[in-house]
Amino acid sequence: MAPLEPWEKVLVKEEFLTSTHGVAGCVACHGGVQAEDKETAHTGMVANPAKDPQPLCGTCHQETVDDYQTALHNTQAGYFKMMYSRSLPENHAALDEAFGNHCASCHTSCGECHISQPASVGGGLLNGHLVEKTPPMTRTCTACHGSRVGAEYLGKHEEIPGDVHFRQGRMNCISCHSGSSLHTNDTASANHRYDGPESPACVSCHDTYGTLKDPISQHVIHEDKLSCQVCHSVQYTSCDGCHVSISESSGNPIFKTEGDYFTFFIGKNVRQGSDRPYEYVVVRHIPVAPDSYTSYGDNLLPNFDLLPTWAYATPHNIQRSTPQNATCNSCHGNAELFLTADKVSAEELEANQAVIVDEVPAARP
Amino acid sequence: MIPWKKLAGLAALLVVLSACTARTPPVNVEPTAVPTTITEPVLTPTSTPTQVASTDYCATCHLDKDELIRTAKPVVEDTESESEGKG
Ligand code: HEC
Ligand code: HEC
Ligand code: HEC
Ligand code: HEC
Ligand code: HEC
Ligand code: HEC
Ligand code: HEC
Ligand code: HEC
Repeated sequence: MAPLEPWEKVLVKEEFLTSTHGVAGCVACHGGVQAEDKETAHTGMVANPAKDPQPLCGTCHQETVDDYQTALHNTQAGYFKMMYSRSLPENHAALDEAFGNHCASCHTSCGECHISQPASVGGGLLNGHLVEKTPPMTRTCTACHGSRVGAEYLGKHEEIPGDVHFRQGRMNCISCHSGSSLHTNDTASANHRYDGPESPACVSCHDTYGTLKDPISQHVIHEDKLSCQVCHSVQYTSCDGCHVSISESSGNPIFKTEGDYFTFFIGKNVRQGSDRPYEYVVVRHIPVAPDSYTSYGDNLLPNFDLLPTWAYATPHNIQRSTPQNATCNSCHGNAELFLTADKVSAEELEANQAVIVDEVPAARP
Repeated sequence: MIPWKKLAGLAALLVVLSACTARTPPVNVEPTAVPTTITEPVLTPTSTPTQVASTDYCATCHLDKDELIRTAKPVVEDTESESEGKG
């Protein structure tokens, strides 16, 4: 995504003024005062008014605004759930402060999908302030989801092809993640993206999987023992040791991650249940460390070992043919592919007990 | 299905071809798509309509590329650059 010039970010198209969303006039939404010079005009101006969508959009889009109360993009509940689960109530205040400094900027307003680029990439109108029905993929979705999901999907990593749905199907994010699925999360999935039913499920489109009509014997044999990604995704990003702090030189919130690298490991599914029946899934190393938040207090994650650091993953680099699905024994008997104890660092063994594969499936005769 | 839009387009074309001054265009050529769920706009402009036309300073400036180039703040270093590794 090429950076926009400062003026490009704020240039409004004339047709916006007479459009449904523009007629109320700038001041009605942004505040500020009518004045000839910029400083005066911008007095009390709110640059991102959609932070509170009710007065701004609710009058005409009440249902969407109500729905959005529970959307993970709005609540960021997934972050809190994972932080708190590794901690204790007395640490919540310190963790909330860290969240406010480092994570709250990923909160997504209606405008950040429909009107302007996310604040985290410097903002800027998408199309002269016109309200875009379809969020443009690379200027909204992958502006935030760029370093992992976007790079994998679009094939930005050398020697790793992009997702078949992009290369071959020319599909974009919202081909699979519909507007309604982004506007709201039902009760089952309101606290975490992988709670509740899969959204979307691969089989909702590939609905002959495992049926009598399915010509692929590997499908029929394994039924729902393995997630699709176990056979159809390739090397994806894992990260280590993220630490957040406030910069001494500028006072800005900053983060440092120790490293990112490519992995492909099959582990046990800690989320096994009727919604996600798989025994085996692919897992990625997430950058949480016991001392991730140390600059906000000592030992803020005393229950670090309660959750794995090798987490359930759904990489966005689906391929029809992969190294591991080439033959039965590219996988059976191939210990390299499985997250066995020797691949987990000593200090993280305890946290990953439920994920580690003790016995690699034996080679087929 | 009857291609209403094409028929309407044709009708409009006929009007033009028959040298009528199409001062009153046929109604219903363009559907006025107003979703029924939409209630009355509640956002009331704080300035009077005449002001909007003549002295909406916000719009005057934000529609004028040169004016924006003149007044825009230079790009500031973003906080990301101080961070290390992938976010
Ligand atoms: C219906 C309410 C509404 C009206 C009317 C409106 N805006 Fe906006 N404007 C928004 C929203 C929402 C955003 C996106 C930011 C956000 O998500 O809060 C935005 C974004 C912007 C941005 C980009 C900010 C950035 O850095 O990304 C500019 C500049 C802007 N508006 C100027 C104007 C001007 C000038 C007018 C009048 C011609 C105007 N707006 C009228 C709601 C409105
Ligand atoms: C005054 C009523 C009103 C308000 C306030 C309003 N909208 Fe709309 N919106 C509409 C109408 C009517 C449509 C139907 C298409 C059109 O007329 O542009 C629409 C359509 C849309 C669409 C689909 C665009 C398309 O081309 O189909 C989006 C997205 C949208 N609005 C987002 C927003 C957001 C975000 C806000 C708050 C910043 C907002 N709207 C505030 C009335 C409104
Ligand atoms: C301003 C940054 C931002 C933008 C823009 C954005 N996202 Fe997100 N997205 C996030 C964050 C942060 C989360 C994690 C929320 C959580 O887990 O608590 C998230 C979560 C998700 C999830 C999982 C949770 C869910 O709702 O199912 C999906 C899927 C997703 N985003 C897809 C998209 C798509 C598609 C787009 C573009 C239409 C998009 N995102 C635009 C920041 C953003
Ligand atoms: C072919 C369908 C498909 C496409 C296209 C797609 N996704 Fe997904 N996405 C999925 C599936 C399946 C999941 C896992 C859902 C679940 O398990 O609940 C998912 C999960 C996610 C998640 C949450 C998990 C995570 O890894 O953080 C995010 C965020 C996300 N997608 C963003 C995107 C973005 C951004 C794009 C476009 C660049 C995109 N997706 C394109 C199918 C798709
Ligand atoms: C994470 C990105 C994202 C956010 C945040 C978001 N939307 Fe959307 N919205 C979408 C997508 C994707 C669609 C479907 C576009 C399409 O089908 O072309 C959509 C569609 C719409 C539509 C058109 C619906 C239709 O059926 O025509 C409206 C109106 C709308 N959004 C309003 C809002 C409002 C109001 C908010 C805030 C409460 C909001 N959106 C927040 C991604 C988002
Ligand atoms: C929204 C519907 C949809 C979803 C959800 C979806 N797919 Fe697909 N998938 C398609 C379409 C359409 C194609 C065909 C692309 C083409 O060949 O043009 C495709 C192609 C494929 C192919 C390649 C087939 C071939 O013959 O080359 C594989 C493998 C695949 N999908 C696996 C998956 C997996 C795994 C998931 C879940 C992560 C998934 N799909 C989710 C629609 C979907
Ligand atoms: C045990 C490994 C394995 C698992 C698990 C698996 N697949 Fe496959 N799949 C294969 C193999 C092998 C092929 C054929 C590859 C080739 O042609 O090179 C294939 C081909 C496909 C194709 C293209 C052929 C067709 O039938 O259209 C699609 C689509 C597909 N898989 C979807 C899925 C989905 C969806 C899931 C999860 C529900 C899944 N696969 C799980 C091994 C697997
Ligand atoms: C990408 C990995 C992978 C591929 C490819 C693969 N398998 Fe498997 N298979 C597994 C795993 C993991 C299990 C589960 C072992 C367990 O339950 O302990 C399994 C289980 C099985 C089982 C036992 C099923 C059951 O329900 O208990 C059979 C039989 C089997 N595989 C046969 C095959 C055959 C035949 C092929 C080639 C046509 C094949 N597999 C390809 C990973 C794979």
